[in-house]
Amino acid sequence: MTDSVGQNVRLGVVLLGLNILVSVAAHLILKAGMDQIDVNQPTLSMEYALLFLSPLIVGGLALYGSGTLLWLFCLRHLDLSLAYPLGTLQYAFIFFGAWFFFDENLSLLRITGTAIIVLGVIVIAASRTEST
Amino acid sequence: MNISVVALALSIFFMAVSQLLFKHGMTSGSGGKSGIAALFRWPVVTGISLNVIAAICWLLAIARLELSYAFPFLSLNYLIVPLLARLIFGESLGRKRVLGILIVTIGVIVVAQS
Repeated sequence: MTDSVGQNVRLGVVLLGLNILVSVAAHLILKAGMDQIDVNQPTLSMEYALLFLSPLIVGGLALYGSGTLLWLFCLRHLDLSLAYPLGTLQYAFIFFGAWFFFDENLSLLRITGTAIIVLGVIVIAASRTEST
Repeated sequence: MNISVVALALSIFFMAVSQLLFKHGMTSGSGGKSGIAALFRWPVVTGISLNVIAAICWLLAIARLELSYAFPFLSLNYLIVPLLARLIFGESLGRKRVLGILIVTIGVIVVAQS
């Protein structure tokens, strides 16, 4: 871990934790927002256009934006090679939330595939230190 | 073809293109000392607009798709962005990075079967 001037690893980890919580909440709220509409409604309809103005969607997008800001500030304090793989913790929380709130079917296949993705991200992150 | 899948693909594609525009916009031309001037030139402005379009596509996608199904697909950008960065900017990809990208891609293919 580099210890360049102004880096505060503990603050970076706190910011990353907040980023993950806020981003996961944003995604779950946006999903709840989109679930307000009848799925048989055609996608290019007035109902969908109005849906984008609903509190869940507007609030979810605002949370999503705040998550991005937290991520940018987190990167001031953490190496990308650490922040990137840790950021994939989001998947675990998204899966839990999707199962808990929306009764989504978490098949072994889906969990396995996502675990493989996380492994790949860890390898990509490890490659950053060797090339820079 | 399923409109949710098309929306998901468009969302991923627009996110990838906006990343390339951000990189191009923040590193070319004179951005001033802090780079703030670069935020207001066409590449970054276009990138932000594409991000907004990507967000709308994403919302249309998750209206019908399960979140735990659609979300892992976003990591396809670990494949698309480096590939385009190599083609357009000539960025080099180390062996280890290519391996990681391949692993991510296999993971997405597995999720797609679920």
